[in-house]
Amino acid sequence: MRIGLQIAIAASMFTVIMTAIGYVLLVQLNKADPIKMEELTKNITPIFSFGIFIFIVMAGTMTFLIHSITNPVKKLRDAADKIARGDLDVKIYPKGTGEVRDLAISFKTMVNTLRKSGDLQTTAAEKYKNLYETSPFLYRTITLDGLIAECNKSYAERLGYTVEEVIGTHYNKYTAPKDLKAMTDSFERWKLTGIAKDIEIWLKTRDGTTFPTLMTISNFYDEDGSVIGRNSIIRDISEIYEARKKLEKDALMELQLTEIKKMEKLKDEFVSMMTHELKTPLTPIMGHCEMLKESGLLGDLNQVQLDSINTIHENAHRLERLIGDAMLAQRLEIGQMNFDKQKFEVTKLMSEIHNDYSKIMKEKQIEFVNSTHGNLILWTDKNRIRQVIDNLIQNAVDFTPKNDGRIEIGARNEDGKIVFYVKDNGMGIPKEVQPIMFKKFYQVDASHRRKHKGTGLGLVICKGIVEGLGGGIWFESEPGKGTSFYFAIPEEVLWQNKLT
Amino acid sequence: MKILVVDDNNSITQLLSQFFKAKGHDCVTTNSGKKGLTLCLNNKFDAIILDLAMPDFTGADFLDSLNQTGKIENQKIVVMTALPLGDVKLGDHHHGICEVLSKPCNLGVLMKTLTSLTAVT
Repeated sequence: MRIGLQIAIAASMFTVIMTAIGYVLLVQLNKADPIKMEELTKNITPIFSFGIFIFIVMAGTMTFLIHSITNPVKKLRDAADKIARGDLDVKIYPKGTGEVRDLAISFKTMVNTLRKSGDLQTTAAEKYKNLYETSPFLYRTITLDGLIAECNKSYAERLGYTVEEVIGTHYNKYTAPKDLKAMTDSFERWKLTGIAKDIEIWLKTRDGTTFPTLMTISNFYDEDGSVIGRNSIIRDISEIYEARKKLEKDALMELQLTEIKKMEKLKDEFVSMMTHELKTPLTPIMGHCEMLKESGLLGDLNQVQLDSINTIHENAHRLERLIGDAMLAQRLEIGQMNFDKQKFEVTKLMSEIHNDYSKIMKEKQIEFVNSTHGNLILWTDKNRIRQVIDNLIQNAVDFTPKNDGRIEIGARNEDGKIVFYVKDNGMGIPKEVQPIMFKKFYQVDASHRRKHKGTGLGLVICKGIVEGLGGGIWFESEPGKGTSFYFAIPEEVLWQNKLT
Repeated sequence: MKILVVDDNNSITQLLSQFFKAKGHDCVTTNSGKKGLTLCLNNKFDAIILDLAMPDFTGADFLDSLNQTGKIENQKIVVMTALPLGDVKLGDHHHGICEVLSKPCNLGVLMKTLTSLTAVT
């Protein structure tokens, strides 16, 4: 059947070809000459037989030619169909001759290239999928309706959900309430422009806590090039945010500190000025008192006049101490105590102090003893050391009983330090208040402050001075038996200063 | 002893003048730092009592000017100041200041200081 069809095709083709090349078989019949008709039939038979022979040869050749062309082409067509269906596993053997063979070779090359490209695509897709799923960044894929089509584990877990729970929900479920508008705006803008990069959006977790993120969007397109969704790469910037907040806070604190320092400087200048202005008029007040008190210098006073002068002098002294204490407390507070260090003989200083106070102690009937021994030398601020001792003596005098009072001062060398002490046999310091003795404005008994008439800054100042000079201050006290204050100034300071 | 007192406060110069004279010393006073410098350069004093915080020409200006003339080492200068202790350092003007006393100063201590300073020549 098939061969018959091919012969028919070949016969048709022969006719067509013969027609095309200009051969026409013409038979002329002459009705008026029937005898010649027989001759004609006789003569035409070999020609006709030859024609049939030629025709058969031509048909065979054509059939062979058609078969050798259509078969490879058909194979190629079948392969093309397989490829179109996505199956690249086709085998092509270049057969035939000429163009058909060349075509098959080209086709094979194309299939190989396609296969390689397909492999690359598969690898890339796998890599992408792997990256998407295992990335520490939060990934989510959103449709144009704002529904989450896909998300990675990092995204779901950071928000406190499973991937399955997240898929199909609206992105706003995970947006912090304060950023809902910003998120919607950004989404709408992206739909128009297709661009969204590094947008700071706060996300909300399942338990309601929020955290800052930076979002960057990449787009998904359909075959026509229209955007059909977006893939959001979300960076959790909580740590960066905290660091930034800390930096901002630090900067603010630094600014505030600068302001405070400026204010402190102004305050210090003000206190310095006030101190200076208050102390200046005290000089003539106290000086004149002194002159009036000195027998014979400006003429003798009667006892009532002398008592008045004494009262003025005593109160002027108190005022001087109060002003001085306020100034020192201010300096201590801002850590700007100035020291003027020099080499001096401790033994000599203690003798001077002992001499200066003997008169007052005698008046107050207090036994006053200096138990310094040996030749002690220090390199430190002599005036400040004297100030500390004055303060401690003043305290001791105030807290020592009227009768049988005893105050002992002294200094000794102990482990590379000079330890100064002021001991009294006064009321002592109650145990419960001992830990806060060096706190500002503290006095053992508030009612005592009126009697003591101090600022409550004395010990604070002593501590500030001693520590400022590199030493330490402490006390031992037994209620009812007395108190001993000690302070130690390191001797090594002397050597360091000698070297420099 | 011939003493120069330089202090802008009149009450203080009066007090010290009265005190030193009562103690049998010669005392010249001025309330101006500049005048004090002129007096100091043109006369020989055994001791100078100098205030620091004075208007226009301060105690520091006085010491600097004296330093420039090269005559500072010949002087026995006692600084008397109401500024907090430690704000004024002996070393600030090299050999210029012999002693710093704080105001209000005990007159007995002042006298003792001047006596011991002038005794060492």
